[in-house]
Amino acid sequence: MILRVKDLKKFYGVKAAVDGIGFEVEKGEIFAILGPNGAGKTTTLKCITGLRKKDSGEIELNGTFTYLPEEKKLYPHLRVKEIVDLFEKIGKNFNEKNCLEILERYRIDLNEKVTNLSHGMRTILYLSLVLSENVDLYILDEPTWGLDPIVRNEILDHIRSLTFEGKSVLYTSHVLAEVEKIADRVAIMKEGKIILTGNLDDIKSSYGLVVSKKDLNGYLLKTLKSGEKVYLVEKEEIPEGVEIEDATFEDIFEAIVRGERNDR
Amino acid sequence: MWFRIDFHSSKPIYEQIKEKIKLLILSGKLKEGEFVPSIRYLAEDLGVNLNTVARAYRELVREGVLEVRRGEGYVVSKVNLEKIRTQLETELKKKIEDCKKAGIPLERILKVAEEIYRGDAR
Amino acid sequence: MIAKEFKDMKVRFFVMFFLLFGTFVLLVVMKDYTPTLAEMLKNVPEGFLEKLGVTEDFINKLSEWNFYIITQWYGKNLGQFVPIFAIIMAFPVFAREIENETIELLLVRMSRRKLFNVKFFTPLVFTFLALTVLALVPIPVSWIIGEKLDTGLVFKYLLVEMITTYLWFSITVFFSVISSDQVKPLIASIATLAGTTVLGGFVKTLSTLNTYSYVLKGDLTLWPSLIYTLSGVVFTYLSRRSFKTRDF
Repeated sequence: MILRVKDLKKFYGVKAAVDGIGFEVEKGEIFAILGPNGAGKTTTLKCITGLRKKDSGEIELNGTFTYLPEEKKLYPHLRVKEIVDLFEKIGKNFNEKNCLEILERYRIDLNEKVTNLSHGMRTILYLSLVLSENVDLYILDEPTWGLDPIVRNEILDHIRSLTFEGKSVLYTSHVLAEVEKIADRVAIMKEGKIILTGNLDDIKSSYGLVVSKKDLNGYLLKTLKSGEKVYLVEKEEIPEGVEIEDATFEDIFEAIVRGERNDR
Repeated sequence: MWFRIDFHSSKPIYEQIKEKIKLLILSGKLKEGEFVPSIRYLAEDLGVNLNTVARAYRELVREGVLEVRRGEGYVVSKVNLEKIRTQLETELKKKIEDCKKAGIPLERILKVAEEIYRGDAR
Repeated sequence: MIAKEFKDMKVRFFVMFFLLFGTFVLLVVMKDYTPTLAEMLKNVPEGFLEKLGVTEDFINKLSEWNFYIITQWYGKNLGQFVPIFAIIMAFPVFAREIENETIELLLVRMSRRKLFNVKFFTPLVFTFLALTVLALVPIPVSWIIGEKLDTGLVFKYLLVEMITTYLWFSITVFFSVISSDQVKPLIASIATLAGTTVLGGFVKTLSTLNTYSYVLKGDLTLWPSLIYTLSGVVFTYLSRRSFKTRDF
């Protein structure tokens, strides 16, 4: 187990941005934290990386880590080459050759000033720096935000290949489709709490959709024009003989985040 | 070995991999005693996670479809073709039930089946 | 790392250095015009000039090189600028990176202690170096033009200026660390400078608050020197502690 978070809490004033969450990341695993904006994902990562002090709870990190922040800000007046040099000096086991290869592949001019790079290129630059560091755990906050689809897929492949070397990844996203491609386990976060966590494949196969006229013990996904309701129900809780539609991860996410639940 | 994985399907990825491998065995493209790609190679080729392929292989071993050869890899075992066929038939039944509910006439179903089987013979 | 810190500060550093250096050059050049100045001033009503302390005696003394340099360079142009130089060098050091959020890059890769030290001492050391050059340059210049200069006094001034620099640098860094933008620490430091100077100027018992009289007189007496140095150390300590514990 490379990272364990237990009952983490972080307050801003009286408001709890992170309200008692816990999860574990195993070695060689890609763990994704999903959730709407403002759910507390970034604050969680900042507590883990030590940028912010937690108010209570435990964070146990068993290995080296690096961090890709949400804002991806780099020194605007330095040239790309100078930023790479900076990482040579302070980066964690930085592999300069690897970094330069990635930059070349995406045609990022080493002599260009950072401020003249487009947002997408700055993201690629920061990614190439972080992914060229050699650590046990890569903590990435919205790594593909602002990238075009082809580049996004290449980056996802690159992130995945980190696990082939036994490394682990903790990352946040609010793009479901991307998480579906790459996560082993997920945690869905809402308003500071984790409302669902588990292996992605298991989650997919443990829920079904049921159409019903009466209220059911599940999450309401949709109310039809006819008045009938579509519920997301755990398969174990669905009685025999009732027709089940398969639920996609998108359905599961939407229903659970909406959180309209009838508990009998 | 390559096949398309649908990441957004409600069917888990490891299930898709298991199915496709069983299909390959049933269709004779994968023979008994033949090696399947290593976990890592398949993961890279398919563009899926190591853990996912590992799980698919693990379950296929448990179901008796694959065997582990220490130091060498995974091999197609003396397959119980019957079992795989039964699984496929169960899925076909469900599909036909759906068609029946949809009001598709029996004649149409038979016609489709004929096209597929006869098509091969031609 | 040090190279990067220097790069970050080089614009304001060189601008101020050359501004001050230029002022010195101007001062040297202007010296020869003081007799003409004296002539011009004879036409101004004496009562008015006396109020400003510009007596005939003063004007005559100005023609003396040593007096001229001591009063005009250390006692005015350079001396007045010393706290401002320190404040301007210090205020963006932490605040800019915090505001731009580039500090995250560093915080993840080096200890807060090391980061604070590099960011604090790099500009401070360069400011000291600049100050040394500016404070000592009259010595070779005097020697070249064949004039006498009270070098003992020059070194006293150098020390006094360094103590003042260190104090205001520390105070500004403290404001810089506890706020999250660049404007607030700048305003806070300048306000503190203005406030302490005025308060110390008018209230006799709080006269130590007036760092300006200290740096302009060049009086290296134990009591104020010790207080200013210790205060500087206190602010450095507070800055470092704040940096270690705050959220980013």
